[in-house]
Amino acid sequence: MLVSPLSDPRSGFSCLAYGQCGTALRRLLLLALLALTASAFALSTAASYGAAAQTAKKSGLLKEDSRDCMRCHWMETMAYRDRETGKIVNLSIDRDAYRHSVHHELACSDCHDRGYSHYPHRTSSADEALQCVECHEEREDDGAPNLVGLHHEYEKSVHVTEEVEDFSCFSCHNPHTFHPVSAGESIAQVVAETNGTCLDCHTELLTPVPKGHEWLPRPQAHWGSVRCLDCHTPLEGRITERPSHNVLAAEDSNQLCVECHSKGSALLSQLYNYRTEQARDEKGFFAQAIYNDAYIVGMTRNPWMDWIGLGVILLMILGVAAHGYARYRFHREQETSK
Amino acid sequence: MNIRSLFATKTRRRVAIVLAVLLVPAVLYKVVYPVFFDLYTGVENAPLTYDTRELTEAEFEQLALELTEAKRRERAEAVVTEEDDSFAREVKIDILMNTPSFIEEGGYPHIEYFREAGIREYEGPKTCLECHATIDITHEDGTVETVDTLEDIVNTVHFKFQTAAGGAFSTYGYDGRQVNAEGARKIPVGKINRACGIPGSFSWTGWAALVASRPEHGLDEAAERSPVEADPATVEGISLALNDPGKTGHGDGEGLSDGVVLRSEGCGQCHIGGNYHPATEKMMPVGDVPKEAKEGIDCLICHAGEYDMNQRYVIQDKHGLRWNQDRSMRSALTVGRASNENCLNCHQHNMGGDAYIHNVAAKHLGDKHQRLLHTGAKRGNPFSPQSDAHAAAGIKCTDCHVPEGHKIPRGRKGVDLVASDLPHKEVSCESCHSQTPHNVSEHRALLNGHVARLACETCHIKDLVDNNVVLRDWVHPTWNAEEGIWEPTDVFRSGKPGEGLMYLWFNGNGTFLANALGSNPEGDGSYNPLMEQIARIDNPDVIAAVREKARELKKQYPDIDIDRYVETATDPLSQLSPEMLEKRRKMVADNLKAAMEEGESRIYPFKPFNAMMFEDMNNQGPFGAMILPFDYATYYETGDSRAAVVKAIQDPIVRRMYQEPFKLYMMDEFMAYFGVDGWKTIYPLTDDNKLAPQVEPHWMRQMGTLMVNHGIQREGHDCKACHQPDGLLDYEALGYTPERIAELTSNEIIDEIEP
Repeated sequence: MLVSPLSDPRSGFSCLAYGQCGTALRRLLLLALLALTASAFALSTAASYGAAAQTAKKSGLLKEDSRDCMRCHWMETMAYRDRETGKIVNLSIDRDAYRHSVHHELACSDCHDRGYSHYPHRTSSADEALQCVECHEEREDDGAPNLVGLHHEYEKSVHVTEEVEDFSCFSCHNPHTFHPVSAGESIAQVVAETNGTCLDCHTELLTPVPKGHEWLPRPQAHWGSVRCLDCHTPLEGRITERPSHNVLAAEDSNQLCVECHSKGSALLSQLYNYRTEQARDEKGFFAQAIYNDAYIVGMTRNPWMDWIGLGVILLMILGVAAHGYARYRFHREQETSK
Repeated sequence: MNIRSLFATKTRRRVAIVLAVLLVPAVLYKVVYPVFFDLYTGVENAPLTYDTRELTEAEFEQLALELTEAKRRERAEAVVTEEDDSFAREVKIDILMNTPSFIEEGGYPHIEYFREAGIREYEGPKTCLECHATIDITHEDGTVETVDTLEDIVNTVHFKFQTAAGGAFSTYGYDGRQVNAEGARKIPVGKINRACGIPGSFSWTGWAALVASRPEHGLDEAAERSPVEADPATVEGISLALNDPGKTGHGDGEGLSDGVVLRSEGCGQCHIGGNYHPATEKMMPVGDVPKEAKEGIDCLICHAGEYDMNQRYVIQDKHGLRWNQDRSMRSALTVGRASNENCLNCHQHNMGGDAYIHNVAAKHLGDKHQRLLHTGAKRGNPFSPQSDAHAAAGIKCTDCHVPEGHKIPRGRKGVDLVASDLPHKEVSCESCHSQTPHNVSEHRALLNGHVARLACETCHIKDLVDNNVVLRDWVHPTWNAEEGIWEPTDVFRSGKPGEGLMYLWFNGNGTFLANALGSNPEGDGSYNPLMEQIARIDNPDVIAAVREKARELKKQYPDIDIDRYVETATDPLSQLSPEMLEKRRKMVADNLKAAMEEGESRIYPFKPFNAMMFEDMNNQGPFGAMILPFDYATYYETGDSRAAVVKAIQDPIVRRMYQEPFKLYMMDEFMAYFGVDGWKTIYPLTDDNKLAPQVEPHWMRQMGTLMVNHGIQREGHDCKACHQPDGLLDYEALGYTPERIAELTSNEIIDEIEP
């Protein structure tokens, strides 16, 4: 279930530390997306990259010129409200989050190389031409994952084809906090994090009858249990590790209920990839292997129904056994009486 | 019928037993207990009468007309603002006032209600409850509850001045326990019984007093000075009071001379109960406020648009002294929701102070027995359109302090022991302002960044009012010739940062004696206000001012040792023995560390305060001893501070306090929070009515720190106010490391911003 970031006054601060748009969900989300993206390059790459990150402990923020930047930018509440969009632009760097991010080895000036040696700064970060894809290509030798594949998907996405103003990688991803998904994150968390990124901008979808989703029963329940991306990415050519960056427009997206509400749904395979692992952790390999996604009873995805079904079967077996035993006893008694 | 026959059969006996089981406790509770209670505590309850009468139809209509027209005129004047020619403006106002739609809008709706219901006399709560017996309360989660109105009010802090509710305080005892925490033994605490040197008394001994003042300029001049016409009734008042002194009145024949003016004083002036004593009954785990007391509640002081503060003075009848209230129909017809003016009738007294020029209530001191002005401001941060950006913007008190029924939240951060009705309800700047409050300055992001460590108030309350009192000596009073009374001597007053305004880390927790708790999130662990900042005054200007005042006092009190006086006032820890000092150091480190390091601390401004009072040294701890109250009349009239204590502690409540049942009921627990092991019940008065030797004058062992949140100025401090060597913030005392101090006080960045 989606929690309004406004419900907790403290979350306002923490969110600033993470996203340009500033919600706590956003940050969770980013972590998840991160993970997804990282795994896109095959687990091995991501893992080795992550491991490399873990071993090289020297944080980029401790390098000399970064410390100058951090004299101000550590402040959790360093932000302003953009005069055009009315949105809060966060300028704060969370040292902890940065330390755990994939970019943690980089010093500030590795990316922000011009116009920042004095305060007030000559330029604002908005007019920087930071290029994730190019930079990752240049630094491939250092272990930076190649983003060209992602970029091709992204170029087909509605965010590009509809020419959404000022849309870039940074609209969804915060490079200062980006890191592989942490093990043990629940499905609900993954969903909340991922959808938070979308709903941060698409706030119109948080209404009782969200625009374009009139056909969808109980939309808010859906927002809480599946990712937007599960429907809004192409059905074809899916890989299990991550959702595509080709985000589809409403009319091209899946609207068939059974695509999800059926066994072995292709739409949900990515998302439930997590669930399988999680369930295996929780219930053990065998229990998970038995239940899996195959619903014994109906297609409700309701565990209670599973239990009730099991109960009915158990009762039936008991009944048959009792009946058999009774017949056996009756037969024996007749034998002896004879 | 024979009584015996009632118990003749088994069935009858059973019925009788059942009836007895039901009735006896009820009778005990409703009849016997209140009688016993009044006897035990010495408080008195009697029907409360006020000077009201029924209006005739014609008088009612005349009053209705006057009120409606005055209101309409007020509205019209607010609309017609831009007219340079006063004649033309007057004509326009007149046109507007006679415009049909304008007449229909606004006005006082209760005029019509009263007219229809035939109400021609206001008889207090009784009248209000005719329609408002129950009210709907909307809780924070949106649920609506219907409650009994009177029951709702008598359980508010505005009526009780205390609470024993679990989790109601973010205040910690010096023993490290949160006051009335869940699971602890709950004791009623709040303004009703907390130790505080500002009022000098406490609510029972200082509830209502008539003080015979002797202004040296004489009666006529006093009347001229007064913003209201002096009522000749003053003379009647004197004779009433002097002929029938009541239990706390004056001695025989005392002060009958011509120059005597009776003045009103006491805690009851700001409290909604009209009784002879505060809500004593509510201090007990059982028992209810008597019906008479409930009938004395002043609904109108909070709800009338035209409440007359001139009706708020002490009156005396055969049961004792109590506070009069405005029960006029004029006031009653203007009822509505509480406005800022209503709140400020009482609260400006604490915020801006009585000498604050825009304190409206302080200009309506009473038609007779005029209230004594408290010229030393308690908090020194006024709330009025002239001094506060929010008041100027028309923001209502209840916009931030959002009530639920009659319960009003104080905010979650409570440094002192003032009870709160809704302790968990947020009252903060952030609930309206986002995390990015600054939008104008080029440096707005940098300014917003400061919110991580600084409270908004730290920059946006640049100073307090000048007469903000910091050090008050109750032991050595000074003669105020103009008012004709002896007053406590304000040894030091200032509203300036570094003098009457200080900066401390604060996480929302406080101690039992109102010391802000918090810690520096990036500090070196050296921050220790209870041993440093609030236990010592370093500012040489302040020390010099205190010395000057001590010299002045010495003329009146030759026994004063000036050096010692200055030392104890500015270094109150010098009053502790080395063992006591060591114990204190240990208690701070062992008991308060957790409360200091909890949550997130930010730097807040505080008004520091200390007072010299008489203390019962048998009940002494490392943070102070039990302070003893003063009898206001004796104090103001004679200037004999010891005699005033003698008088006050003869109050039955104080006597009971020094007895075993009270010790067990609450005093042991109270003192444990105070940092004292066990309450010693040795009554501090000798048989010949002298103060016992254990009563000594002392300054409290540290300054109390009162939170200041009002008087918000649009333009805050500039950068250099703090970011320079010797700026407003003492970074070292705030526990910063030397490297960080160097950064914070360097001006390399500041010079770019403020060349």
